[in-house]
Amino acid sequence: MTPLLEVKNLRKLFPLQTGVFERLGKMRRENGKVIVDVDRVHAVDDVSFSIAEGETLALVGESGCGKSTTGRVILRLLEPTSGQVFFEGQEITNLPDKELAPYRRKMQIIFQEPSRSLNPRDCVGEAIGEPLMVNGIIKNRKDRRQRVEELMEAVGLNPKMYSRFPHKFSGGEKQRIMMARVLSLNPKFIVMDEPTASLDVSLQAQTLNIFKKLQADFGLTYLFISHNLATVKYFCDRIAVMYLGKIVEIGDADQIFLNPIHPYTKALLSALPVAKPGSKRNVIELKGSVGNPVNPKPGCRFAERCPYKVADICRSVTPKLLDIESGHQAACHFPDNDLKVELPEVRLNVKRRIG
Amino acid sequence: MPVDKRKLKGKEPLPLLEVRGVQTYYYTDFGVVKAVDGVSFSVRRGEKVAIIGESGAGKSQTGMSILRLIPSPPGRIVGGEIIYEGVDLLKLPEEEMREYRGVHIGVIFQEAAQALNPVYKVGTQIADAYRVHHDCTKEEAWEKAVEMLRKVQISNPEQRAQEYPHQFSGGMRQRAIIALAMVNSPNLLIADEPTTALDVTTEAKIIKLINDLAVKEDKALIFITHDLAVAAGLCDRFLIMYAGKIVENSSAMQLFSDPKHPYAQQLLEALIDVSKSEDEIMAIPGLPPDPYNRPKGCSFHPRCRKVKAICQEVEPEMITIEGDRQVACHYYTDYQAPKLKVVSSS
Repeated sequence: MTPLLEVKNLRKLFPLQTGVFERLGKMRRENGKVIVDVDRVHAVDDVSFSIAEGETLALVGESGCGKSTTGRVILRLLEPTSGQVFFEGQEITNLPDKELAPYRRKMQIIFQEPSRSLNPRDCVGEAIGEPLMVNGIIKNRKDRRQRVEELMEAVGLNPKMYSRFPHKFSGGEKQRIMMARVLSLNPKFIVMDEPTASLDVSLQAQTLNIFKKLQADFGLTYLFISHNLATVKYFCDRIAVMYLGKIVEIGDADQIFLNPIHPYTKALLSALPVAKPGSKRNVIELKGSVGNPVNPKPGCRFAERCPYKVADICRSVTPKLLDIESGHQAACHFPDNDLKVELPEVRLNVKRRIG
Repeated sequence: MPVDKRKLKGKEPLPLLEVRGVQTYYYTDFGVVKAVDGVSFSVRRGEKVAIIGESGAGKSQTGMSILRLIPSPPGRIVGGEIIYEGVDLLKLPEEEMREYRGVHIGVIFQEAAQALNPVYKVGTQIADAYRVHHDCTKEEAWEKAVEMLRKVQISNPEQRAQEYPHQFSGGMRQRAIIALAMVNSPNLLIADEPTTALDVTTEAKIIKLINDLAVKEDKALIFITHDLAVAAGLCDRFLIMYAGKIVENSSAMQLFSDPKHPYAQQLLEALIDVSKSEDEIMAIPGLPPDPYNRPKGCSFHPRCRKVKAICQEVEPEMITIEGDRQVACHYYTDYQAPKLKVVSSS
């Protein structure tokens, strides 16, 4: 079965010198040829993964690791520098805008700050109904109202709030409004960019449960971008850990939590706050801060902060993703490192893999 | 300075801070918001107290009331006492209050980027905070600032002190804020969501730093957060706030093993934690109450699963159980419910 979405060797580089004079400063001559060598931020660097229909893949990592950029490049909100994205078997990376339009309907995104995605002067009904009008699915206001009320009910909002304005709603409700708007186009795939990061702990579970229910009701596939591993474990089937533009480990949620391989994954897990008072844990401390993604040298991106050991090979050869077990890959030269993560009894999720 | 004699007579050592029935109200065009509505608790030396609650529960307002940093108008502390080492801070004139802010009570704000002034060097800002309260030269203050940056583990502090806040990363800015808060070595540190905007790895480091620096034998910490998991690793006493009131005051062990108030119970159930499997996480239904129009009786009753008729009419009072543990619920256990029925509040 072909996966719903497949990403192959995706790359997104941002040039740092974009002005004419800045670029002139970077010009040099080599063998009579003029070469302009601008510095580039390697935001997403050779990322490959696939998502099966109905599945939720999490992209986790610290801020600046390129997880949001990956989500945006997949939707072509940013144009990829190289690499391919296949949706339902069709390559969409080079499609002209007109041919891309039907795919845009099927692939949607929810952003972190719902209040910034909503126009404060549009009432909720208008906000949710706008995609329907723009895409010409519904022509008149009466039909719109009916359809919007259906959608509001689906996400657990009272349809009576149709003409209220966004400021009347709490963060969790606004995120549901966003979900209703996205669902109006009947998408198959939704990128969720930290949808619960700005919500209270007490509302996170509520909101995630609604997302789960909608996934089952509408047959949705999610790419869930987050830095909160506990949330990810609760919500996602598979996890991809990113560090400085590269995926360092990918596997089933339970595999990542029970058998983490990459030292970075282990460090992330060890730093995870656990709701058990008095539990003294050994946090694997990382030296310094996230490295510089500008013109990275070959070798492991994580070498400078690695708490395990840094051998010559780490500085010279970029590690590839190696199979650890079925469906579980890690990019480390020392996959049998003995770094220990003390996680007090991680409870397994009920298996809900999609066949 | 006036000393509260009632307290000195008792055998228990004087708590560092005692908050008694503080009420902080906001008078707006749309009505009165009771942000803090009769909050009482005490903080002993060496104690790490967490104030937990949803946004709008009044946890930050409680912290800011202690510092008397309530924007006025529209806000006003309309009642109660805040006794710090025997002195009622609410009765002090503003000039004397300044001596307490920073020197006795330090504060770390949530948004590190906004707490630092972008046009001054980080070192200057820390040195200034020191010089306000100490008789010293500029050079001595600068040295103190560099020393503080070293204490919060900023590498190359001499050079970093010369830099501006925008040259610092998020985690480093938060460290600088800690240095700023600790430069006058306050006895009480109020940390208002210090790690909410940070990554997990940075968060763990900052928590460790606060623990190492701010909490020593004779000092205390008030840690304000909405994240129970983060507080669990740091604090030993928990105040659960809901709609401007404390509904449970328990030790960490008591709260996590046997929460008494239904809100605390439901909050723990809704907490997404790795030590739970999927089916153990249960969301709290409904939404926090509208601050202009809080429900009659117990504020939590519309979302409470133990709700009975009395909860909709009578507001529960704080009662003491098991030593110094407190809870405000008519039915905190089903067995004692009949005895509590008479409890009412004005």
